[in-house]
Amino acid sequence: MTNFNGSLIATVRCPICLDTFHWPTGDSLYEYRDGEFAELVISPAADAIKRADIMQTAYLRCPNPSEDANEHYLPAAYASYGNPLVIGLVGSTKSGKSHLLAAIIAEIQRDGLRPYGLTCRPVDFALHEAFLRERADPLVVRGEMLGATEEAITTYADALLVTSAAGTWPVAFFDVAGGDLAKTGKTARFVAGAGALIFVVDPDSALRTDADGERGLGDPTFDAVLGRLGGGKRHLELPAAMVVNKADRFRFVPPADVWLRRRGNGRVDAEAMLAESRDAYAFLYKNNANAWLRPFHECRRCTLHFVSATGGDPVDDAFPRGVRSQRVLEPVIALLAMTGILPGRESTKVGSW
Amino acid sequence: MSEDIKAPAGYAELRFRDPAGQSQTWTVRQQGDLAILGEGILSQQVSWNGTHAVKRWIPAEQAARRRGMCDRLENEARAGMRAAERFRDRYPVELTRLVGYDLDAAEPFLLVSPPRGTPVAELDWMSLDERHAFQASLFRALLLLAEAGIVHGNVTATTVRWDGKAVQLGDFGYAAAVGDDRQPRPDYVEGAPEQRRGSGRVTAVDDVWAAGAVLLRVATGQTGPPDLSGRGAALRSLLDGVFAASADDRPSAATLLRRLGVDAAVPPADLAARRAFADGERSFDRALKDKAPRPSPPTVRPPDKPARRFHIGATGLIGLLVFAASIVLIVLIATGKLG
Repeated sequence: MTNFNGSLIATVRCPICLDTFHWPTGDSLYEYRDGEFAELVISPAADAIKRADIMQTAYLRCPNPSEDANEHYLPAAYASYGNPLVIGLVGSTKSGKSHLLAAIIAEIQRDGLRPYGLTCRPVDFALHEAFLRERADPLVVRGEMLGATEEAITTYADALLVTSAAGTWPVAFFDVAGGDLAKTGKTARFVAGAGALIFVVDPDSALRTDADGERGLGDPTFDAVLGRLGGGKRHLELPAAMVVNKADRFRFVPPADVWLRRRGNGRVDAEAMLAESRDAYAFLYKNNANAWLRPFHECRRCTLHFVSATGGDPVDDAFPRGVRSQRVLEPVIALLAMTGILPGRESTKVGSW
Repeated sequence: MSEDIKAPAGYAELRFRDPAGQSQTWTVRQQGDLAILGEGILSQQVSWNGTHAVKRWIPAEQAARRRGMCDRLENEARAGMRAAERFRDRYPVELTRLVGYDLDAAEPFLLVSPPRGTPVAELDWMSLDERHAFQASLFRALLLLAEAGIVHGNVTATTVRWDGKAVQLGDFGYAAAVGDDRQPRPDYVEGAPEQRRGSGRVTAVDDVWAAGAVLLRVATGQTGPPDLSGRGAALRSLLDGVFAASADDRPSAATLLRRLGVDAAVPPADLAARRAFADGERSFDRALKDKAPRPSPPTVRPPDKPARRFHIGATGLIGLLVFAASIVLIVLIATGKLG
C-alpha cells in the first residue's frame, strides 16, 4: 500500500464528505495548534526519519472535489496504511451510543485488544486526546454521565491505527446524534462510506416484557440507515454487530446474566459468538422487540451481543461506585474479524455460520 | 434509590426493585443487632407492615473501594432472581427468598427472607429419622437449585440450616449459574477439588460434594477431607460416588433423592416463557438460513443442435495423406523394395 513518504498514489474516500481523491494530494501539510489548523512547513533538510515523525501528527486538507462540505482535514496517517475502516454507531438519542463508544475507547486505551494480537495507537493524536479528556475519562475515571451528543456533527469521534498480523488499518468511529441519523442529510453521510456498523438497541424502547405488551415499531435510526444503504438489495454485505445495550439491567436474568459474566480470553470464538447472537436475538424476540431485529435480517453477516457501558444505572446523574464496563469490546472484535483486520480461520467464520 | 435520612430514628426508607421488576418503597423498622457477615457485609433484621426480612448491605465507602464485596451481593441477587422466575408463587421453603434489591446505589443492598431454623454447625444431635428427613431436604434443595440453573457454591454446615422439618439454604454470595466459569476458592474446605481450584465450568452437580460433606458431618461428626471408609453401609451406599474425583462421575440430586426413596418431583415450570424464547431461537435459525449465500442458479442449457455430419477440412485431409504416405514408406522399407 502506501507509506509516509507519499511516493505511492492511493485513492481515498474521505469519511466526512465521501468524496474520493488521490492521496497524497500534493497540497500543503497542516498542524493542529491552539484549536486551529495552521500550515506546516517541513524543512528540506529534514531527513526521512524526521519527516516520518512530523507526519505522525500532520494533517492534509481534504480537497472535497464536490465542494459541498465545509473545510475539513484528515490526519496524514489516515490513508497511509490499509483501506480505512469506518465504523458507525447507529441508535436513537437515548440508546446510550455515546456512553458505549466512550467505554469502547477506554477499554482499547487500556490495551483491551492486545490479547487478540492487536495493537492500537491514535491516527489523530489531537482528536484522540480530546476524546479521552472530554468523553472517556469523565465516564470511566470520574463516573460522570455524559451529555447528549451534539447535533450536526459530521466528523468522526475518534480514529485509531489498528495493527494485526495482517497489517495496519486506520479505524474511524462515528457517533452521530440520533436525530441526525434519522434524517437523510449530510450529517449522516458517513453511513454511505461506512465499512461496518454497530446497531445499538435501547432496551427502554425495545423491550415489552409483559405478555400483553404491544410491540414497538422499531428504531427509526435503524430504518433510516438500512434504507440509505439498501438500494433494493435483499441483503447488505456490510458487516454489522447489534448490541443489547444497558444489559446490566438484565444482569440477573438469563441469558444476559451468563454472557455478562464471560470475560474475553484473547481468542476469537465463532461458536461462542453464534451462541450469544442466538441468545440475544431470542431475548429480544421473547420481549416483543422484533422490529429492532431488522439489522440482523438485512445484513448478511451480523452478530448480536449483550453489553453494558457502565455496569449499572446512574444515581443522580453519576455512578457512585464508578463505572464497570462489560463486554464492550465484543462487537468491535466481531467487526474486526468480519472485515479481515483480525485475521485467522476462526475470524472467517464470524457472522457466516 | 437510597436510604432516606428523614425516616424516624430506628426506621429507614428503602427504595428498591422486587423480583418482578416493580419499584417498591418501604419504610422499614430496624430490628435486632447489626451483624457483620463474611467480607464485611452488614446484616440486620428489618420489618415492614408485618413482613420480616433481612437487609444485607455494604457501606458506601467500602462499596466504592472493594468490588469483590459487591460481587457477593450481585451473586445473591442473581440466584434469587433466577429462583423467583423459576418457582414464582410456588417458592420452595428450602431456599431463602429474595425480597428486593438496589445494587446500583452508593450503598448497595438487598433484602432476603429471614433465616429459619439453626445452622447445622450448631446442632448437637439428630435422630435417625430426623437425619433421613434432613438428607432428603438438603438434596431436594440442590434439585430445586438445579431446576433454576444455579448452584449455591458455598454449601457448609453454617449456610445449611435445619428447623426439624426442612432445610433452609441461605447466603448465596458465591452462587453461580450452570455454565459460568468457576472461580478459585482455595478456602472452601467443604468444596470439591475443582471448586477450590476454580477450574472448568460450573455444572448442576457442583454442590453435591459439599452437601455430602455436610451429611457426613451430621451423621458422624467428621469434618475435613471426606472419608467413607469404615462408615455404615447405608451411608456408604447413599453417598456412593459423591466424592468421585471427576464431577462427571458424581450422582445428581435427583439420583440421591431416589436412593433415599424420596420423590424427586419439582414444581412445574412456566412453559409459556420458555416457548417464547425457543420461538426466538427458531426465528434466528431461519433467518440465518435465509441469509446463507445461495448457489448460483444453473445456466439455461442451449437448445440441442442437430447432430453434425462428419466433416474433414483441408488440414485434416493433408494429415491423412501424410499418414497414408508414411504407412506406404514403412511397408516398402520393410519389404526391402526401398534401399
